[in-house]
Amino acid sequence: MSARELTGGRRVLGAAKPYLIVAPAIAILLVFWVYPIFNMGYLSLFKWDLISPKMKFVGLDNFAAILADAQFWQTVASTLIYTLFVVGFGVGLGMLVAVYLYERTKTNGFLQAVVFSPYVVSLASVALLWLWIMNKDFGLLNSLLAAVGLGPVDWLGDPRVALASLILISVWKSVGYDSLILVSALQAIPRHLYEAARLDSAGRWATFSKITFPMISPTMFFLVIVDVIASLKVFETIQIMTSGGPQNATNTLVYSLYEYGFQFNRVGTAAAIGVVLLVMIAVFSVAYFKLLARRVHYR
Amino acid sequence: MSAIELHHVRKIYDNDVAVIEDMNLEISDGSFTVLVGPSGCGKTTTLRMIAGLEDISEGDLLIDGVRMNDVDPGDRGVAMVFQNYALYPTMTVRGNIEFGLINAKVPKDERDRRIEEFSRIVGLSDYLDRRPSQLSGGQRQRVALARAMVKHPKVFLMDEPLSNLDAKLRAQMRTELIALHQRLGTTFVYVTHDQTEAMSMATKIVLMNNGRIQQADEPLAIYGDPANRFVAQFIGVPTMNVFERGSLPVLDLPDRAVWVGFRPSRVLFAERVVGSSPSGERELTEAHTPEHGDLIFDAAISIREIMGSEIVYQARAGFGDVSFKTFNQPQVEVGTRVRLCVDFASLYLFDADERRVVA
Repeated sequence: MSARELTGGRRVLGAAKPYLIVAPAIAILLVFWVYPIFNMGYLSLFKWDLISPKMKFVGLDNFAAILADAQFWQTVASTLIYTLFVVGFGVGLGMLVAVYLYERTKTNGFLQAVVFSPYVVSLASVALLWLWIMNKDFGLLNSLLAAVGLGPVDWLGDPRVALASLILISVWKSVGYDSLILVSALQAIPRHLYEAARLDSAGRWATFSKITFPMISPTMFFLVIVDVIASLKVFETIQIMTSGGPQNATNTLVYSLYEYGFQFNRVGTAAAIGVVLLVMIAVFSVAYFKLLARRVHYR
Repeated sequence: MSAIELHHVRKIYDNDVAVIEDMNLEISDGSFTVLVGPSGCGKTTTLRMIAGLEDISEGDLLIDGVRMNDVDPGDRGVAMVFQNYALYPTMTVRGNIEFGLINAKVPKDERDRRIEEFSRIVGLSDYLDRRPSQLSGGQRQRVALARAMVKHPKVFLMDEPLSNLDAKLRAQMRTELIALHQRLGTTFVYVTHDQTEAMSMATKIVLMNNGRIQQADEPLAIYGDPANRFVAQFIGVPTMNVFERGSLPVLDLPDRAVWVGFRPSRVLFAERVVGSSPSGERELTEAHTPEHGDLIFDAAISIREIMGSEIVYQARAGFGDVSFKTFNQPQVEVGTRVRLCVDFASLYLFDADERRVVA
């Protein structure tokens, strides 16, 4: 039966079918993604305490206030430093581990599983575990340092060390994932390219920089953007381990958003921080895809 | 001079299976040597051992009289064209051609001069800034050739370089490779499973099977004077007819001869047969009057393949199916009963071990 023979009602149904099929997904997208983003922008223009029925319109005052606040800028700086190091070390070490685990042997399969295992555990559990490992007085790290004669480090209590400690934990957790993805990218490089390179007298460095690296760069770029976005949104470890302290040294954008919104009951300010974070991620993403489109187009 | 010598070379993989057994081979300077054989015969492994991509388990490999077993591939003075070209996908055509030269620390102006020269030879001057993904199969093939030539290698190694091209382009590239070999005068070692490529390009054919050389000789010697039944049946289209002596009509042959073979092109009509000309008219075929001692038999035509000037038939005889072909003759219908003959001098004889017996 051709479409022409369909009755009117069936024809309407036929035309509406694709929309009906995607409708549930669209509904979820609208309710849980699009609406919250616009609502956040809306809330950032008000002064509101989350409870009272009265919302006072203040225009861009919330933005003016946070941009004039030194502590906010410290938060932005911490977030960027945290992101830079977590992504740099995570992808960098992931690369080293991947090169080491490249050959498909039983030992390497086991090691890969070991390196990957932190990624499987929930970040909250990981945070609790490291809270104990990094304890100043009876933690595992300081016991090990004491064994080789090094003085105790206040991993989470010293403002100069605390952010680095959080970076360490995040890197420890993400290296496994990054290396797993990179191993599969490495294994996807055709063997004969390396044979051609050997006949072209390419040394180890030339082979890596001119063949291996360009071949896995799309994967590297993917990991960088995923890790950057995840790092910009870091929250659990800070909430559980440092509460943004000591002396605001580990306060990040998402944690301060949480503080303003749910501890100080300043929803407008929290929403304004959320908008700033959204803009940062958007700027990064657009820049990234522009760069990606230009640099990784060999396929 | 760039001769290659293999002395008592063996190749054994981890599972103790020898893929190359005691191979002795001399590839003379400036020759176009084709290693040919069925899949798994060890021809590619041999090539890769010459290139240095496979270790040599036992024996010696010499290039220009220098032992090369432990020399890095890049230092052997060889260049290779891979079956799937193995072009670097992230580099431009220029980058692909230049990579080996940069590694060999060839100065910039010399590099540019050579890239210009060889990209012109292969007709890719206008494509230097493209990437391999933007090229057709034939163009990629040329990039691979240019990348190999630009290094001025002593030896060119090619691993089934034409197998990914369509039939027409393959025939064209074959001619170009012959011209290229004549122009460069370099030693070419070429691996293929295609006997047509071997016959058409080689100055010397090395026919391999089960990790052993069956025969190494000039193309016409391989065709006309095969050392054993395998060689006789590998070269030539259609395959040589081989039957057990006892099943054939009585022939005056030496006692050692157990197998008797004859080329399809040597089978002739013993009596004229009615066929039809290209314009559809009835016409009689030519016939050859057999002499005493020739092989003569009756058969019925069962399959006919028309190639153009050539027609390939299969005919059912009392002792089995016989292939034969005619040249510029009227076509004979399937089912026609024919009397065929083969000149006694055109029979190939093989002993119980399938080695050639010369009567």
